[in-house]
Amino acid sequence: MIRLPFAVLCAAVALTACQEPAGVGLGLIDQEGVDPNVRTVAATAVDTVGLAEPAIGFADANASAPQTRVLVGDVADAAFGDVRAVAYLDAVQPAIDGDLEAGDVSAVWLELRRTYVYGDTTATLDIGLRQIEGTWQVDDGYPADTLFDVGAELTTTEASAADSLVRWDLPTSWVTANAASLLADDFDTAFEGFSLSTAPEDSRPAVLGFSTVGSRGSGLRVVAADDTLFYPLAEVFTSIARTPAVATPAGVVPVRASTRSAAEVTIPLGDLRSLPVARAALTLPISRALLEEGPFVRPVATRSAVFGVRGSGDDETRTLLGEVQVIGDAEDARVVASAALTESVQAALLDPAQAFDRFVVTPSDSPLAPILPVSLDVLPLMTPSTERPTPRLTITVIGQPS
Amino acid sequence: MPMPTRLLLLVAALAAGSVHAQGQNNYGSTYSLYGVGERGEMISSQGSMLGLSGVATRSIYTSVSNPALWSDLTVTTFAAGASVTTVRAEDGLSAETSTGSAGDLTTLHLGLPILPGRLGLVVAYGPYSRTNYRSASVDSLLVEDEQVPYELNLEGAGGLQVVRAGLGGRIGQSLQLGVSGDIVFGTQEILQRTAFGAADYREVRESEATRVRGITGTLGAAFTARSLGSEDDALTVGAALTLPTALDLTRTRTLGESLDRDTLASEVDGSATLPLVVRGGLAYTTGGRWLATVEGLYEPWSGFESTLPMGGFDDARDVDLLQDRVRVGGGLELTPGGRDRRAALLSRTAYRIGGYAERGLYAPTGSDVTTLALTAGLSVPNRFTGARFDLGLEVGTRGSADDVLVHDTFLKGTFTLNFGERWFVRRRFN
Repeated sequence: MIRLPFAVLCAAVALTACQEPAGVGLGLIDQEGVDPNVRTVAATAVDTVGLAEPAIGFADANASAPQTRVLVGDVADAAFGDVRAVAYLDAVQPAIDGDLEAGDVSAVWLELRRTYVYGDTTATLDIGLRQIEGTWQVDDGYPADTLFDVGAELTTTEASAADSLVRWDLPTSWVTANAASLLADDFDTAFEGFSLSTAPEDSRPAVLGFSTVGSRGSGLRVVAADDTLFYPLAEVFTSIARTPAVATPAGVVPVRASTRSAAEVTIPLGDLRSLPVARAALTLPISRALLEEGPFVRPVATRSAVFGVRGSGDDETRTLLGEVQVIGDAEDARVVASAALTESVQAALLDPAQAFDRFVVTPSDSPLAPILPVSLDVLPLMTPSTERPTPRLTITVIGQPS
Repeated sequence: MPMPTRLLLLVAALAAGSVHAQGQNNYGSTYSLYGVGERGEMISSQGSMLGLSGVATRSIYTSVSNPALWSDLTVTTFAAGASVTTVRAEDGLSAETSTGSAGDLTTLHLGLPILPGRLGLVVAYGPYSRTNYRSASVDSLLVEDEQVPYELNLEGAGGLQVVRAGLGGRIGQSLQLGVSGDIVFGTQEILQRTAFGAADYREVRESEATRVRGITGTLGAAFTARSLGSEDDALTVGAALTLPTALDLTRTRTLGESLDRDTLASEVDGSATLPLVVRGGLAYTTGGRWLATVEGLYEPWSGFESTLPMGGFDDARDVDLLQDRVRVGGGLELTPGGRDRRAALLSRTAYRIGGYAERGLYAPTGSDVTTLALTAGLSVPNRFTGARFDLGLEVGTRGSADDVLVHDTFLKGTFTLNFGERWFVRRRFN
């Protein structure tokens, strides 16, 4: 007899799961002030700020391929500052047939895949190759403009933005002198690698970038007897020396990757207190005109990090909020899908003490994307203006301020 | 397993089921947004099936609505019940139909015969009101030149409970009087959930919760005249008055859900006054076979007051959509076997049918919102003396699809365990 009530009870509980909601009854429900709406808060200032961060451009065989790009060249850029880049590369010995002797080595060359250009895309660079004489190692303690001791120029190769593969043939004298070392068991520790650089000249047209460690095709080739041995690159470093911009166009903040500079954006949230936030997006318009001036190109920093900063000096706290991405062809750079930014704006609206004083954008230096390659990518952020797209925080809120 | 243990297990399952039912995803009538929610009834499983009438019904099913009737207790009684209500709603604005289901606790009481047949004590728990509406609309929002779809859910949840405790005593052979103290408490929560159809957006869940607590009292009386048309008949006239209830309110607005909530605004205190409740009715029984009841109820919600905006009432904005609630109902019960305990099961089963008409406590358009319902059910005896399983059904309509109104069609099923035993009563013979 008691089974029936139990069955009835179970059926009743199961029935409570039957729900098909619809818009029925909306005429009775007070909907005043419940709809979502968009609030746009304009930035009051965009400035450059220096970053006290360690040098960049190191990578070893454990790094992912894109991270191991090296830069070589010299570019004059009044808008963002001049840059001189020198690359350092070290190779390791592959498995070698023990019967090979120094006399078997007939030719050696360095071959690199070109993957990047900043500056005049029609220019041709004379890139000289030198042997590193001092010792160096992969270490993030080097300043960005560190130069290592190198010997005399061994060879020079012309390279341009049109080349996909660039080769430096080492002279016969060097091959003869170093043939034994190339085959020796202690090659990895005795050999310190090469540097690539352009000669300091008045004409400073461009900086080229090459893929190195882990890149198919990039490495040292040694012809020994009937074999061509491939010595893969194992450690790389790019030394970057820069000078400040001297003629930045009005209304633009010149922020460039790998130069220890960032953009600082100030956005007061005003009277939006206690509103629920569904999404917050930071939009930073950029000047497309500065990305391509005739044959002179400046790659845009497609991925950057944005931090919320509170306080200053020793009391400064910095919170990673999200990633800045340049969206399509639009003249916008904006934070995309950043839950942390939304949460931080929500926290600030609920408690003004939680608000960040400013946002800092570090171009092509995102902790969220550690595989970003070394670059001179720029983020030409436009300053606040009423006559053109202005930096702003777009907040989707629910309801109206009380 | 011994029968008492199984019954206790069933009671536990009922309680657990009710708790589950009162959790999330309980949806009912849109009209539950008014006042403090759709009014609930604390009667008895018998009264629920007789058109919500029980103020004058003297029976083994302790009617909680009238303390005077508690003097009829001769054994310790216990009842626990649960219900499931499905509401299908439509209106003239959306051309849509929504369906929602809600489970709830209907009755929970313990009755103790202090002086069997003369003085009884009852402690009862039940719903005073339920807020369980939900309406969802889909729209889109232009954000930075991009249309972002969103669904806006407006929901009400929670409700008020009553704990009633009191005494009923018999004076002479015909008159019964009773009094109870009633504690009204609970939380009414108004939810707004906004979900966007884009990955970057998070669902926003805003809640305005109002905690309610208050104390009131109920006075009851019943007078019974016997042998009117036959030797074994009786007519009882009963009435109960629940005094207006002064409520303390505390309202908070929060964002988020569960333990991860942020406070959107500081707590606001307020007060409100629930109107009195007047019930009056008749019950006529003959030979233990037939029972007929009729009852009327009146609640002057037009006098409702609140310092905080409540559903359909906002003093600051001069909004008052509430009106007096009036209900008339009645029913008929047949127990073919009468009081013969040796009759067959079907003869000892009570068959009930009833109905009621109610003018709701709200008038959103100025016109009455009327509920018409039929009730029916069975009360099946159990081989364990004093225990009965009551199954009830209620089907009805509420309102209309005119103007902004909503037309509800509802179906409610109830299940109640009634249990009676001579606990705490000294036996005359060992």
